[in-house]
Amino acid sequence: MSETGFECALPEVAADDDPLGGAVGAAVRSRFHVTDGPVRTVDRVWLDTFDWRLHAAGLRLAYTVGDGAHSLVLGPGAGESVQRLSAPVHWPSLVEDLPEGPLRERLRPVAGIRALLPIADTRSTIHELRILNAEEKTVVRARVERSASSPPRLSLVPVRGYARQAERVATLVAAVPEVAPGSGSDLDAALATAGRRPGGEAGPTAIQLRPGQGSADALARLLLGLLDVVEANVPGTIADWDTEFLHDLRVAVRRTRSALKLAGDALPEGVAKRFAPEFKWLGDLTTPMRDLDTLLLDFDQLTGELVEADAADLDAFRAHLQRHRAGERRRLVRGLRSARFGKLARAWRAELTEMLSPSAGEAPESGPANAEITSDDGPANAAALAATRLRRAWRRVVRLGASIAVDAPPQTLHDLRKRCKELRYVLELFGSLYPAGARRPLVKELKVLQDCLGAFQDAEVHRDVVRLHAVAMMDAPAASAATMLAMGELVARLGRRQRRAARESVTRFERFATPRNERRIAIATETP
Amino acid sequence: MRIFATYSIKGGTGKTSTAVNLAYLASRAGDRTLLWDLDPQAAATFLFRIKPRVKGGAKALVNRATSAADAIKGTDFEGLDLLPADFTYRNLDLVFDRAKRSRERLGRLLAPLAGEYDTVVLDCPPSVSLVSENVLRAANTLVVPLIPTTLSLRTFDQLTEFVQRSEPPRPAVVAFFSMVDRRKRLHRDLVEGLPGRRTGILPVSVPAAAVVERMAVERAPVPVFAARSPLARSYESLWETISQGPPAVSECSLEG
Ligand SMILES: Nc1ncnc2c1ncn2[C@@H]1O[C@H](COP(=O)(O)OP(=O)(O)O)[C@@H](O)[C@H]1O
Ligand SMILES: [Mg+2]
Repeated sequence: MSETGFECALPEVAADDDPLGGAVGAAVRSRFHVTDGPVRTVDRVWLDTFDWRLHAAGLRLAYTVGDGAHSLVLGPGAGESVQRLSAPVHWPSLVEDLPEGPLRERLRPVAGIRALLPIADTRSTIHELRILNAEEKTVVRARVERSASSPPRLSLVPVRGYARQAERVATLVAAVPEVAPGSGSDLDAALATAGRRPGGEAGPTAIQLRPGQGSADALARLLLGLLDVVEANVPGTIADWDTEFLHDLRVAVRRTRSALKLAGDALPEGVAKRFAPEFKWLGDLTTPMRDLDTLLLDFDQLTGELVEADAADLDAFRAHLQRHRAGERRRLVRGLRSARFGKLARAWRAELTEMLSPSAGEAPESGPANAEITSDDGPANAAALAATRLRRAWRRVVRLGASIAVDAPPQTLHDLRKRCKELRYVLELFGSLYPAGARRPLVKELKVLQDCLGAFQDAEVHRDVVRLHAVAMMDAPAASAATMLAMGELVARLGRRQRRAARESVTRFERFATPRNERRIAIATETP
Repeated sequence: MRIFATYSIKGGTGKTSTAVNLAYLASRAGDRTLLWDLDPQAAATFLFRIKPRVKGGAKALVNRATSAADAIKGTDFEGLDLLPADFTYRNLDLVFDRAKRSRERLGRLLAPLAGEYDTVVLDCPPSVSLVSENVLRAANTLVVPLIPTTLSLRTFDQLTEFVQRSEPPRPAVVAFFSMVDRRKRLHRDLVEGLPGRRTGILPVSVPAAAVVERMAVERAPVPVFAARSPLARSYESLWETISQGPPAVSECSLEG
C-alpha cells in the first residue's frame, strides 16, 4: 500500500452492526483491533474547472459542509488533503480567492486562472473507524462511506510511520472475494446520473473527419462544433466566472470567421456572405473586454518590470481599469443577451444542420472518394477541402512574410499575425485529415512564431489602452503625479517590448518559412 | 514553522506534560504539528503508545543516515506527529560534539521539515548541555515551567541572562508558574504578584491537579478526556498566549 492509502468498494450488507460488513470485518479483526468512531453526514459540492483540469490531473476536489463546518478536500480518496475554512465559500470561485494554505498551493498550478465550478452535489454518511496494533496504537484510519448513489466504499489511510501494518490490513481486505479494489467516488456516480462526462466539452479539434466525407458536410460539422463552444461559454462569460470563458468564446468566433473566409465557398451559395458580418459583429463585441482582461492578467508582471516607478503607483490605474472593465462587461452582457445574438445562434445552427448529409456525410458525387475534384461548388470532399485550404493558407503566410522586416510598418506584422492564425486554424480544424507526422511539427513551430506575434500585438494594444486611459485618469480625483509618471514608464516599457517582439518575430518567421516546412505542407496536402 | 521548546534545568517541573498538551492544542487549532521527544526517558513517546526507537539511534539521526522525516510516527490524534525518543539520546551530547557545527545540528535536522509542519514542540531533557544549546539556537520560543519558589525564580533569571548573552539567533524566553497550589501562601503570593511586573513571566499559571496522572492511563492529552477541567483550561490559555507570537516576551529576548 502506498502512502496514499487503499480504497475499495465493499459488498452491500444489510444493517449489520459491523460497519465494515461481515466478511471484511472478520478478516481485519482476525489480526487487528478495530475501534468504532463517529458517524457523520457529509454534503459535498464537487468542483472542477469548466475544462475539467482537475479531472485531467487525476484530482477530485470537494467542498464539504457538515456539523456547521466548511472544508475543502482534495483527493483522490485516501491520500487527501483537507483545509478547514473559517467562512463558507460561494462557488464558482477563483483559486486565488480561496484562503491561503497548502491546498490552495496544490490547486494553483492545476486550475491556473480558471474558476472552480460546482459540477455535482452528493450526500453521504461516513463512518470512521480506527485499526489498532497489539499496543492499542492506531496504525490505520478506516472510513466507510455510504450514499444512495453508489455501493459502500472503504478507504484505509495509514498513520504516518506505520506503512507496513497498513499494508497488512490492505492485504487482508483485498483477499476477501466480494471486495472490488480500486478507487471510485460519489462524484463518478453523481456525474453519471446527471448525464455528464468528465472531459466532455473537448472542443472542435476532437471532431473526426473522414477524407471521403462531403466537404459541405465536413465543414458544417466543424462549424457546429464551434457554435457549441461559443454557446457553452456564454453563461460563464456573462457571469464572469473567469476570464477564460470569454477567451474561449472569442477563439471559437475567430475560428468560425476564418473558416468562413478560407472555406466559405464549400458552403451553399450565399451562406458565408450572409453570416460573416454577423460573426464580425460578435467578435468586435468581445474585443474591448478581452483587451482589458489581458492587460489586467499581465499587470503584476508589467509593474514588476518598472524601474523608476513603484508598482504601488499604479494601484489607482488598476482600480480605474477594473471600474472600466465593469462598464465594458455590462455592454458585452447586453450584446450576448440581445435578440441579434439569439437570432444569429439559432439561424446559424439551423443553416448548418441543414447542410449535414443524411448518409453519415459521404460525398454525394460518385467517383473516386479521395480524389481532389474541385467543381464550381468548391472541393468535392473533405480531403480535397483540407488540402486546398492548407496550401492556400500557407501561401498567404509565406507571401506576406517575405515583405516583413524589422522596420516594417506594424500593419504588416498584424497582417502576418492574422495569416498565421488562419494557417493555425486550418491545421487544427482539419487536423484529423493531415498526417500527424507533418502536422505536429508544423503546429509546434507555428506556435512559437504566433507567440512572438501575439506579444507584439498585446504590447501595442496595451499601450493604446494605457494612453487612452491616461486621458480619463487626468480627470479622476485619485490620479496623482506619481501614477501618471508610472503610466508613462509603462508606455515606454510596452514600446520596448513591442520592438523586441517585432525583431523576434522576423527571426522566427525566417525559421518557420523554410523549405522543410514547405515539404511538410506538401506531404500534408498530398492526395493519394 | 514555529519551534517551541519546553525547557528547564530541573527535572519534574512539568515540561513533558506541558509539551504534550501544547502540541495537542496546536494540532487541534489546525496546525500541522510535530512533537520531538528529546528525553531518553521517553515519557512523551510512551504516552502515545509509540515505540521509543529511531533506526540507528541518535548517531544515525544526527549524521542523517536516518532522516528525521522517516523516523516520524503519527499519533492517534489527527495533525499531531511525534519524532520518538530513543535510548541512545542519552549520548546526544557526545554525538553533537563530534559533529561539525555542533551547536546547530538540531536546527538543521528540523529545517527540511519546514514544509510539512507549522508548529514543532521540543520536549527537552533537564540539563544544561550541548543539547540545550542546540535547543536554544533552534527554538523560536523557550517555554519554562516554574515551580513557584524563590529559588526557581532566581534560576529563571540566570537562564534569561544566559540567553541574552549568547549569540543570535536567540529564542524568546517565557515562563509560567507550574503545579500551582493555591492553598500555599507562597504560591499565591508569587502567582498573584509577579506576572506583569517581571518581563518574561506570563499571566498564565497551571494548577497542581491530580487529573494530570490520568494522561498515562488514557494515553491522551488532558483536553481529550477532561475537556472542562481547570487543568485543560489553563493549558488552553497557555497555548493561546504563546501562540500569538512574542508579546510581553520581546523585550527580554531578541533585542536584548
Ligand atoms: N499540573 C500538574 N499537577 C500535578 N502534577 C503534575 C502536573 N504536571 C506534571 N505533574 C506531574 O509531575 C511529574 C513530572 O512531570 P513532567 O511533566 O514529566 O515533568 P518534566 O518533564 O519536567 O520532568 C509527573 O509525575 C507528572 O504527572
Ligand atoms: Mg520530561
